[in-house]
Amino acid sequence: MVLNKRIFRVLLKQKAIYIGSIVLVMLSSLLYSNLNIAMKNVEKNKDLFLEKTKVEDAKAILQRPIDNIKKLEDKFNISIEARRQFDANISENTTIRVFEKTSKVNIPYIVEGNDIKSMNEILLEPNFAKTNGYNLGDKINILDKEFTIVGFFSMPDYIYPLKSEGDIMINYKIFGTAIISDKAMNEMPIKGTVYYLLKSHSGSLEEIKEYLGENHFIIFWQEINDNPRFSFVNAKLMGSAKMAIALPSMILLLTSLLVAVVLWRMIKTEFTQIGTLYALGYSKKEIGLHYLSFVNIIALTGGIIGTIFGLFLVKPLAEYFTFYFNIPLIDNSFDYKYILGSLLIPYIFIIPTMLIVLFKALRYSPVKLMRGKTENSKVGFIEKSLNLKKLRFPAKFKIREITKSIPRLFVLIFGITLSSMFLLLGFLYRNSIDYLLNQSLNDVFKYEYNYVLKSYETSNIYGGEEYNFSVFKVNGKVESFVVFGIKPNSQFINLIDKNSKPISEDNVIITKPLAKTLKVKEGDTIVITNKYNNDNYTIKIDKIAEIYTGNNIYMPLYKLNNLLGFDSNSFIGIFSKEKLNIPEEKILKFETKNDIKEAFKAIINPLKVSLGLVSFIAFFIALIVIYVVTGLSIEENKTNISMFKILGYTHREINDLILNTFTIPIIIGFVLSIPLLIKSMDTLLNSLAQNIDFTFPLKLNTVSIILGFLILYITFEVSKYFSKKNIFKIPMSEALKTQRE
Amino acid sequence: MFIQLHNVNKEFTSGKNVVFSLRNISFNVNKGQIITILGPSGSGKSTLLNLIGGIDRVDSGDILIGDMNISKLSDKDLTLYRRNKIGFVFQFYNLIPNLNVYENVEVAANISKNPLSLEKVLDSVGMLDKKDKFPQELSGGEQQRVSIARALAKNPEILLCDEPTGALDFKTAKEILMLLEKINKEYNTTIFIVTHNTAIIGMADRIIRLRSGEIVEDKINSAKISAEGVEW
Ligand SMILES: Nc1ncnc2c1ncn2[C@@H]1O[C@H](COP(=O)(O)OP(=O)(O)OP(=O)(O)O)[C@@H](O)[C@H]1O
Ligand SMILES: [Mg+2]
Repeated sequence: MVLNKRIFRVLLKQKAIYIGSIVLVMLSSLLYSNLNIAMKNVEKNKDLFLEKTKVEDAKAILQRPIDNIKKLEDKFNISIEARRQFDANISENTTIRVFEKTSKVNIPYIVEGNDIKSMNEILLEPNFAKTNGYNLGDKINILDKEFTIVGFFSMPDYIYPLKSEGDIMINYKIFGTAIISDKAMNEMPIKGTVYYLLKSHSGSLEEIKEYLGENHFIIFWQEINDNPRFSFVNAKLMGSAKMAIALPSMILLLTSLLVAVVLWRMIKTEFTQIGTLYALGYSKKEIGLHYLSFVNIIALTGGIIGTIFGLFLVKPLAEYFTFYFNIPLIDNSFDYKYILGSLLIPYIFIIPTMLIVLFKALRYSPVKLMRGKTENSKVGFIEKSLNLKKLRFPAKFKIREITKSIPRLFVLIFGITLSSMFLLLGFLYRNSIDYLLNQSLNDVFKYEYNYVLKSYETSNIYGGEEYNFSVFKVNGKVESFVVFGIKPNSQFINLIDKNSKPISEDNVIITKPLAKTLKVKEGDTIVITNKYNNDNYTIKIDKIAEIYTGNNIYMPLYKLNNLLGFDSNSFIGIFSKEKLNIPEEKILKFETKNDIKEAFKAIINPLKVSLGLVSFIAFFIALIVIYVVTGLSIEENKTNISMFKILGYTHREINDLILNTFTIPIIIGFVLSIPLLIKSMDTLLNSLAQNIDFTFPLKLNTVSIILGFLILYITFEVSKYFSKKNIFKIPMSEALKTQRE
Repeated sequence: MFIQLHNVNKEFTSGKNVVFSLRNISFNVNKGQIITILGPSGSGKSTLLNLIGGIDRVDSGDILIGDMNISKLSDKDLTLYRRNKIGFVFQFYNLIPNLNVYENVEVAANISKNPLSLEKVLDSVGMLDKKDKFPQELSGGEQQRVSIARALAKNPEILLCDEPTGALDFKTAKEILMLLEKINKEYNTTIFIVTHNTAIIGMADRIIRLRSGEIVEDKINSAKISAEGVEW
C-alpha cells in the first residue's frame, strides 16, 4: 500500500517517542521471557535434584533404634536410612554440622570435586566453604581430627542450611554443613544424634508412623514439607515465580498503555487525512491496518532486540537463580521455543489496547473526520468545570495541560508508581534487614563487648555486668540453644514483648524463633536437657520476646545458678560498654558487636546485585515514561510553544511551563507507590507464609523514601534535559504556518 | 522617526539556489501611524513583518526601533524586544485551545512588565462577556478579537497584523478594522497591517507596496478615511 511509505517518515519525525516505546517493549519482553525461562530452569533443576538425591518424605528420631531396617523396608514398601549428625565448633563463632554419608535417602549431590572415598575425606557445603575460604584439597579440623576437603555437596533436606529451624536467614559465616563417611563417623569422639530418613514408595507414611510409634517410640517426627530448610526454598521459588510473572506483566501493561496514548495522539492529528482516505475509497480495514503497522513496528523491533539480548542473558540468569535458590545446576539446557515467546508477548498485550483506540477513531464518519474537528468541537467537562480564577497564569496553564488528556495522565502516574515501587523495593529490603539487625543488635543487646571467662567466678571485680550461661537441647526438637542467666534490671539486655513493652528480667523469657521451633506459648512448661551432663530440667516460660533472630532463653542469674546448683552469684561472662581490663589468661572468648554485624552483612551482599538491577530498570522505566509523556506534550504544544516564543517568552519560562507541568503527577505517582509497595509485599509474604513459619518485618524509613524520591527527581531532571533540546528546536515559524491542527 | 529601515536585505535559499530575496528595503515610520503593506502573494510581506517583529533576522542592513538597532541584538535581547514592544496578530488566530478567553489573553500579560488591565482590554475588544468561553466555542471574528486582545495586553508600541481579516467575512472584517483603528487612537500604537485587500488602504496613514521583494510604491495616504468607511 502506498500509505505505508510514510510509516518511516512518521517514525523518524518523532523518533524519541517511538524509540522510548520500543525500548520499553524490549525491556518487558526480555524480562518476561528470561525470568520465566530462568524460573522454569530452576524448577526443572529442583525436580531433577530431588529425584537424583532421593529426597526423604520424613525424618524421625526414635527412642528405640531400628535393628532390622531391611525387614521394615520390605514390610512397608519404604526406604529407611539411619543418619548420624553432630555439631562441632571449628572456630569461636562458627559451627559445622557434620552428617554421615547416606546412600538410599537424601544422597548428597556432588556439585564440585569428588565424592568421599576414604575415612579422612570430607564434603563441604559450597557457599559455606566459599564464605570461609575453604578450597578443594584444603584440610579442616573437626574435633581434633583432620579431614581433606575433596568435594562440595548439596543435600535436599538442607538446601537452605539454617542453623536452627526458627531462623529466617542463613549465615554461612557462622554455620555450615559437612559430610563424612560412616566409618569416620564411628571414629568421632561424640556419638551424634541418629535421624531415621524415610522415603515411601507407596506414597503413604501413615502405617510406618503408626508402627514406629507403637514399637520404637517417636521422639521427633517431621515431614519434608514442614522442614523449613526445604520449604523455604519452595516458598522462595513460589514468591519469585509470582514476581517473574507480575513484574514484566506490569511493565508490559504500562508499555501498551503508553503506546496506545502515542497512537491515539497520532491518529488524532491525522483525522483530516483519515477522512480524506475514506473519501478516496479506502476501507476501514485498510486504514486500520495502516495504523496497526506502527504498532507492529514497535512490537516487532522491541521484541526482536529483546529476544536477542535475552539469548545472551538466559544462561547467566539461570546460573544466578540456581545459586540464589541454593539448588545445584544439574541441567542448564533450555528450550529455545520459550525465547520465541518473547517475540509474541508484546503483541498479546499491545494489540487489544490498539484495537480499542482504532475502533474509537474509525467510528467517526468521513465528513466529521475531514473537518478534523471531532474532538476539538466540544469543550471537555473537566475544562469547563475547573475554576482557576484565583491562580497565577503558569499554574493555570499547567493544570489545563495536566487535565487535557486523562489517559495520558493515568499512564504517567501508573508508570511513575510502578517504577517507584521497583526503586523502593531495594530500600524496603535493606531497611527491613537493617531493622531486624538493629532491633536485635542495638535495641535489645546494648553491650559492645562480650567476654567469656575460662572459669566460673563469684564476684565481679572487672566492671561491666556479669552473666552466666549454659547450653541445652530439647530432645528431638532442638539440637542446641543457650540459656542465659542475667542480672535483673540488666542494662545490656532489653527484651520487649510484641507490644514493644519492655519485659522485666525477673521472668523466664524465650526468643520468638526458639518459641516457634519448640511450639511453646507464654505460660507453658518445657523440659530442657543440659548438653554437658544430660541432666533434665523443667522450666516454665513466662514471656516470649519479640526478636527476629537468635535461639535463646533468658532468666534471672540466681535462678539459672540455682537450677544448675551453682552459687547464686556465679558467672562466666561479662557484658560491657567499654573494653575491660581482664587478664589475658582468664579470657576464653571475646567478641565485639561489630563482628556479628559484619557476619550479617555478608549475607546481604549477594542480593545487592539483583536489587541494584531492579533499581536500574526502575530508573530506566521512569525515564522513558516521563520522556515520552513530556515528548507528547511538547508535540501537542508545538504551535503554542512557537507562539510563546513569538510573544517574547524566554527559554526558561517556556521550559517551566511545559516541562514542570508534570511535577505534581510525578509526586502523586511516587507517593502512591509507598503504600502500594508495602501492601503488595505484605500480600506476597503472607501468601508464602501460609506454608511456613515466617516473620519478616516490613520497614521503609524516611531517609530511604527521600533517597528514592531524589533518584526519581534526578530521572525527571535528566528527562527534562533531553526535552529542553526539543523545545529549543521548535521554530517561531511553526505558529505562522497556516492552520493549526 | 520611530521606526527606520536602512538597506534591509534578507534571502531564503534552498541548497545553493536563492528562492527569494528581500532587497534594499528602506523606509521610516512615525509613531502612532497605521501602515498597510500590500503586494501579491510571495512578494515578501510577511517576511518584512517578521523582520520588524524580531522573529527573524536581517542578512544585512539595520532596523532601528527608537534608538535601538534590533538587527544587532542578541537572541536574548531580541526576545526581550518582542516581549516589551511588539504585539502580533495573525490570520489564523493561534489561540491555545485548552485555555479560555481570559487565560489566552493572560498568556501575554503574564510576561509583561506593565500589562494593561485584562478586563479593560477584553472590554475594548468586546469580549468581556465571553471571557470564560473556550476558542472552539467562538466564531472566527471573536477569536480574532481575542488574539488582538492578547497582542494588546502587553501594551505594545508596535502592533503587527498579518492578514488579520483574511479569514473573515466582510462584516466581521470591518469590525476588526474598526477595532484596530480604535486601538491606534486610544493607545497611540503604531500598527502595521499586511493585506491583499486594497480596500483596506483607505484607513492607513501610509501605504507600502511590495513586488518580488522590492518596494515598488511607498506613499502617504492623503485621503485617509475612517475604518467604517472602508468598503469592498
Ligand atoms: N523560512 C523560509 N525559508 C524559505 N523560504 C521562505 C521562508 N519564508 C518565506 N519564504 C519564501 O519567501 C517568499 C516570500 O514569502 P512571504 O511569506 O514573505 O510572502 P507574502 O508576501 O507574505 O505572501 P502571502 O501573501 O502568500 O502571505 C515566498 O516565496 C516564500 O516561499
Ligand atoms: Mg504572508
